[in-house]
Amino acid sequence: MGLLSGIQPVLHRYVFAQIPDFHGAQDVLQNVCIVLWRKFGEYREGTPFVAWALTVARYEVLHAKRAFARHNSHLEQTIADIATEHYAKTDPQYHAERENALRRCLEYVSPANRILLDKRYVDGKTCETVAREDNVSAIAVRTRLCRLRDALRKCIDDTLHIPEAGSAAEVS
Amino acid sequence: MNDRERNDAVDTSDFDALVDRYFEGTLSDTETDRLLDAFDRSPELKRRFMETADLTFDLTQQLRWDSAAKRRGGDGLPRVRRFPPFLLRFVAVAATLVAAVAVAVLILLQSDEEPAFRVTAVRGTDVELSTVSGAIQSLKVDSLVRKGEAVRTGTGSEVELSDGYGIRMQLREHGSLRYGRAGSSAPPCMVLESGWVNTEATHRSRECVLATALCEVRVTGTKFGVQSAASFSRVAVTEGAVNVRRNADMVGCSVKAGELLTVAATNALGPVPWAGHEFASSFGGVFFRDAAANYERNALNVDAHPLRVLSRRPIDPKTLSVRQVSPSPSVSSVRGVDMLAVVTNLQGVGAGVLVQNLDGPDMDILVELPETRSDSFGVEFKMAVQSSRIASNAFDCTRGMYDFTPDGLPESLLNGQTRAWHSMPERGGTAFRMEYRRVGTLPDNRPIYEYCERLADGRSADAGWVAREPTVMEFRVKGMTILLHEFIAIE
Repeated sequence: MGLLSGIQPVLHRYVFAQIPDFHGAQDVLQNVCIVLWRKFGEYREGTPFVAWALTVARYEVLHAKRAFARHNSHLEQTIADIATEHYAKTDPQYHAERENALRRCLEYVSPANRILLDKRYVDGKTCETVAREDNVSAIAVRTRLCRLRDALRKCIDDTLHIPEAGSAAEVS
Repeated sequence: MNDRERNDAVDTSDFDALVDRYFEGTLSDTETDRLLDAFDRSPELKRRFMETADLTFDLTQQLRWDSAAKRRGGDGLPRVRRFPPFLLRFVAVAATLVAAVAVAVLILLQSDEEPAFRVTAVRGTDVELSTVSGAIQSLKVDSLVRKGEAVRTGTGSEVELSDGYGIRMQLREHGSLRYGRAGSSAPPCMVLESGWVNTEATHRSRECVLATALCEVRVTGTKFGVQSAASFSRVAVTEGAVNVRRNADMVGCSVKAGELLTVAATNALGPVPWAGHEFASSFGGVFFRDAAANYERNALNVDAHPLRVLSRRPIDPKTLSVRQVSPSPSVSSVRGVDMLAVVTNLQGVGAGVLVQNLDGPDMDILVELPETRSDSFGVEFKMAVQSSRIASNAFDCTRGMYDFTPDGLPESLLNGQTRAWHSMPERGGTAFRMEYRRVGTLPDNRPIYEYCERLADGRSADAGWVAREPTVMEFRVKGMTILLHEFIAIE
């Protein structure tokens, strides 16, 4: 079962890419774990475990979407393909390192930007809602968030490549 | 033009805004088409999408964690407790010893009192105490249940009792539990008149007997659950062991942790392992309660809406043979006009229905999942082909529409064409053969399929599902004998 717990963060990301709702994705992940746990005996040793788990997860995501009466559009299928290809190749350790780097980079985010990030990712508000609250245009909010994400992305990359340097100034 | 150059030609800020909208859940139809178009144009944008997906995931996770830590008033890390100075520790230990001696003296002083169970918790309002004279009294925390008195619970109510000597009992809804049989003396005996009681008896020096109309359960230090229904009693043990004795013939049996015993009027007594032993495990943040508790939680509802195995057409006794695999209270009825079986108890270990249709016409069998209260409760059973004369016939032909191309299916399939393959590792390798038939085309040229699953001769596979509403699973049987068995409740 060590195999299973090792790839759980990857599975969570995989489900989240297709069900972009953090709690919803967690629920589906639980179902994925149940199915994997039950069908673990069917996994053939020597074959790629991640690929097998992703196939199971794909069906669970599909099942969840059917349960929520969400039709399987071409987009959803495309994203499932992209995510399967991406996560079948990724090393879980890579994500762990990026998570650590993000934690450090977030320390350099200005208070105003931190409030914006909280509204979007903690409270789950849309850019339109945030714009109404702050009395600015939705485009402005979206642009600001995009720039912020770009800065964080760059900071993470820099942190991972040159640990002692970081990119504090660029994030704030 | 390479990928990087093609990507440069695409407006990445527009793409980022589309991806942002996807993760917000506010993507319009036009924007969906634009996003798909972007994916088609550049593999680099697919990589960028996954990068954003990972970052969005990390941000959501990290910020929520920070926010929760802030609400707890710290950094979210476990608090480090400092040990008090030596003198303080000495005083604390001395005080604890004095208190322990005082409690022991109090217990000794109280031991001459009439034994009684004390109510330690009440959930819900539909609870009552029936006294020896038959009077009904209200029940609340700290009420005493004396010999001859009974606790009753209604819908959604539960009562917890303790005898003060390490025996705790939890009477679940729609139950009746009486303290001591009329005219019975020691050892203290609780009689489960109906319903389900979970018992924890950690104090081995004081023997406890839990009785039902059919049997007695003698505790040897354990945690266990007992159900009392009209025609059977059931004992499931989670820790330790219990001794069970049937009243009718005084036949006894020991049930150990992980075992389940069903006591009916005349069945052979023998514990069996739980079919759903994995429910006792904890994995990946999902905590499964033990099978007994799980079963108990849903049992009442399942009793009210049993799982039914039906035939679409009236049964032809010349060609269709149906029989129970082994006598079991779980399968209460076999054969009617169109009724094959009624499965009333989903921990029906050993229960099964054997359906044989070797010579008759196609027989569609329906398995109806009962309505359930929980939105994550379902039923699982195994189906096996025991023998098959006509290998090509459909075994399970559940019809469902897929408006997308399933994995491994070529896009070139024409309407009316069928394609089969054995590529369902999560369904038991090649035990299943999937068959998809293209039945039509949507206006936007997306294909519509119906699918059948076939199970190879002599193979067995799981056939369960989780349903949030009454659901029907359909099988088509011809020229074969199939076995539906090991019905279990899943959560």
